[in-house]
Amino acid sequence: MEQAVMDPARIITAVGNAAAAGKIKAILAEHGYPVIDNASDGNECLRKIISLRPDLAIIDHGLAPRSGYEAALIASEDKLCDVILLLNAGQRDNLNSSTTGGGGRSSITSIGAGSGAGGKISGISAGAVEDIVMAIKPITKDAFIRTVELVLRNRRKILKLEKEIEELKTTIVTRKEVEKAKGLLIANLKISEDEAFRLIQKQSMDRGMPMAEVAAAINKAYGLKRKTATAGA
Amino acid sequence: MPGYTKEEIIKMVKEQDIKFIRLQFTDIFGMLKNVAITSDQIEKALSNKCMFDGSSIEGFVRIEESDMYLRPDPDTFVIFPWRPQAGKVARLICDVYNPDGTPFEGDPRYVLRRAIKKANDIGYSAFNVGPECEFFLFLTDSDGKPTVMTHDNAGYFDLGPVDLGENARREICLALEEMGFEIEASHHEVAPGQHEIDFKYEDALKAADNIMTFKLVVKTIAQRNGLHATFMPKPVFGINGSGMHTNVSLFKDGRNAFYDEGGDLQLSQEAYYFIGGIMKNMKSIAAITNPIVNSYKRLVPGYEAPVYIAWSARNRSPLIRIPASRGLSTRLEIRCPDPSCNPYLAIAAILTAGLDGIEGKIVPPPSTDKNIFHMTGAERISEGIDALPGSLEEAICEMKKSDIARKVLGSHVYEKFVEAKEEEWDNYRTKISKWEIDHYLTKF
Repeated sequence: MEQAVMDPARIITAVGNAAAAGKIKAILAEHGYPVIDNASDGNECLRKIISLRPDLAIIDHGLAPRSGYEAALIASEDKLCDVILLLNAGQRDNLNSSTTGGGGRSSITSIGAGSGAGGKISGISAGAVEDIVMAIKPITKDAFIRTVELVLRNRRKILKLEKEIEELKTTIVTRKEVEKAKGLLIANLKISEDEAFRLIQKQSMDRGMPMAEVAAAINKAYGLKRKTATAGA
Repeated sequence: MPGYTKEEIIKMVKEQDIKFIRLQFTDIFGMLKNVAITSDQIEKALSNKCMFDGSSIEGFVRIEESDMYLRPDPDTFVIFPWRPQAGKVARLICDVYNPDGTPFEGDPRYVLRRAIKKANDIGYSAFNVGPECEFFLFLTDSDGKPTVMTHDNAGYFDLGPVDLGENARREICLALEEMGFEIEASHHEVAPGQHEIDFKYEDALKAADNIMTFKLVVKTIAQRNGLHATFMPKPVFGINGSGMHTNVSLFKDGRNAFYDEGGDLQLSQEAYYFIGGIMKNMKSIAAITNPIVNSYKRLVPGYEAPVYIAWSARNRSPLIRIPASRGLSTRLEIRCPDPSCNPYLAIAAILTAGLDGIEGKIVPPPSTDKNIFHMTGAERISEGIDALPGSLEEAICEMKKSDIARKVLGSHVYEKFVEAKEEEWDNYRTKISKWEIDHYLTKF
């Protein structure tokens, strides 16, 4: 929670009933989560998600004319933001029976308080999209806030992991190019491995270019030289 | 898009885990129809054994003769790029056949095939068509009904850094590229909320297929963005409407038949005859290229849409413009069609009208390089400049006066088309419009 205050997540709600929307906003504000906007129908919800790029959208299933579920599906399919779908037990059962029929392979995580579930994760059921977290109404304040925190914490974790993967990918590419360039420099300039590395590094610093690009340029140049040499012969 | 064999398609359906295949065809009025089948039925469909009830399609057949067969065109196999998680969906565009194995006369794709064959018969190897499709992206209201409000003037998203229209258009382009389209240009148009996406020219049949696919993609992606896309020619009074400028060129023995290095403006005699044919027949085929009541609210002076039947290599106001590029890309730009037309019928009509000029050696009048909108009525008459029909009613009358439309469409489509359009006009004519209420209710 402290982290939430330090790094406030951007949340939008999509709840048709203005009183309910106000209540959710108040609960979230109490716990340090600002709600930046509310949408009152499914299309408006999508437009606001696209335009405001929140971290999390809390969407009520009972939106018209496009159901909250539909909007939630699109938001999660297009990776627009994380979604918590608010729905009652009947709506959940309807969704489950219609989506399992279509051979749903992934799962919807549903979290509920109320009837016996007592704020625990009440079960993982088959559905259409695994990234939508469902909160079953009625839900206690506590369970609701915990769900929000869980989703946001997971989001931060996933974003961090994605960033790390991206960095690792770049590292691998850099290493591959640099190794190849080093080999070419050693063979052609008759220098040591350290000298070859230093040469690439220096070029990179002098030109303000990433090492991978310098190395790629070296590789391309030698590749061209070889091609012209064979063409000439 | 590469051509596929039957076996390749069956393999792809299996490997890519495709759940549904949509067998698509177009009705006479340009509406895309489809029969959805599950992946288990793909073999049956590719053996041309899929049937549907033709009497449920407007303008097709009576109930007694309702069984029709769909013959998928394997070249048109494409997987839709959206909703991958809910099970992939692919489509095949189909030709419609009668139970006795003959092509169905009322299938617009057949109408276009017939027109192309005619061109082939007199020695032209290809008719290339490059459309420039315009459309509006509007916001929807809280009931989900489309409004004529655009992101540009709605103003209530001042907080957001993202232009919803631009964002949707970018996604549309990406989806189209994934489906094999080569996008040549994509930009915001003159009017608020108006967009244009141009894709690479193709031979006539493929181009018409592409236009149908394009409309589907635009509508689908817009919806996923909480917006409503419309191809209505003139949705808002006072701002530019949406056209579908159509660039056309004819090929003979691998050469562009419109190009002649030594010709006047480097255009061949055939190009001039083609222009002559279009100019002679345009009024008679306007009901095909501009088929709805609203089409004629776009064809008025003052909004870059053509009104007069003239051609020019310089100015942009007349019906036919010759873009500057020559050589293989020599082409004519026909500027009146709008995106509410049935592209199969419209392209067939333009081709037939042009060929009529070539066959009849119709010499067009000299080009009009002045801005026609600045000429007086008397000047226009002295220069012999005729106007396009002013309403759907006029267009239908013109259509009935000449036999070219019947020649293009064939009797079946022609009869159904005229009947439906007369009904549409009558329906419109007898309604009381908002304009009348605004002007007369208090006055009289």
